[in-house]
Amino acid sequence: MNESDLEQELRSLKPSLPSSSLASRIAGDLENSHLPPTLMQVQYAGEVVPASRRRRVWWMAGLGFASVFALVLLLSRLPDSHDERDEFSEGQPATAANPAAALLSDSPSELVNELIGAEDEGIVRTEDAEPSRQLRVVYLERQIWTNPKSGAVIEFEVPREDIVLMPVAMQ
Amino acid sequence: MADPFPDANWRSCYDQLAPKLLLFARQWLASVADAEDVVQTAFVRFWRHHPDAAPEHYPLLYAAVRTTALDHLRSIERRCRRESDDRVEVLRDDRPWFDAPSAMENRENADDLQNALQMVPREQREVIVLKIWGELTFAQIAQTLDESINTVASRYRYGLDALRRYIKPRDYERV
Repeated sequence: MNESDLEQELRSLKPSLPSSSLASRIAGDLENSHLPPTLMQVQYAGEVVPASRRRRVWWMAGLGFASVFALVLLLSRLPDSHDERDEFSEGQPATAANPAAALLSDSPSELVNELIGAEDEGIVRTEDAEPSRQLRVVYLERQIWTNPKSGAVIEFEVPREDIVLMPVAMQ
Repeated sequence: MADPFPDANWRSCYDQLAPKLLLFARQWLASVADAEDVVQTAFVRFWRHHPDAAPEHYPLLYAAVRTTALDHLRSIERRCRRESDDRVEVLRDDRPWFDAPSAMENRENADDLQNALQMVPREQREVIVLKIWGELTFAQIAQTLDESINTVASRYRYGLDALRRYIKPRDYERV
């Protein structure tokens, strides 16, 4: 049997049809795909977080950072309490004498990057036409700052979302 | 708000390609259910990224199915022990790859071809499936598999040679 005859014989075979439910499953998935952006949901590890709440988290995270920065800046500008200690500060704990230095440690006592979720968004073509797998990775960065003397703790969480392009050739 | 996934677009693509995509997925997955899951995942992912896809974009679907199938297979292989010899790979099918032709001898012929196809090394077999039933050009197959055109063409030739060896000779050829 030559190649042409073999090809013809193979082409005469028709691939089996998929089950009738496959089309409806795909229809259901696509129907959920095109919900308006305000209703699109980002799935964290087991918990569905509405996009509106996600945006609030980002906004609040920014506000949190700004607040911490302002607090540190304000405290750093307080007069040296050694010279301007008022009558009420006598007998205060040593942390009141230099609150800025004593408030926070030099670096976070705990810094955790927690992987919340990762979604494989399939193959995309980059500008140089190389096929790459696009991964959407969501982290939650948790920073814990402590006052080494009083033990006071400031804790804040910053969500972060990264898009990772992994060339198919490297997989 | 306009529907970003007009029903007519993706259904037309589905009607045209679903059996071929399923056949392609079954090159890696033993069960039809797993293969359909892979087709579903890949198809939905493709249309989410290409809501305005035209027929010239359809070859990308095969790449999506392939990647999804390989991911699925890797997760299965982590759980099960498998034969490692690719030349004699046991693909446990619960349904024929090809529709049953009307005459019994045609059904036997289809089964013989399927059995022979399963004996062909996987990397050659996938090229045959894409060329014969996917109706892709060698250039499109090369893009799907991320290989050179020469490599793809060679695999196709070697695959057909292997297939000829494995096909049972017909009665009239035995004379």
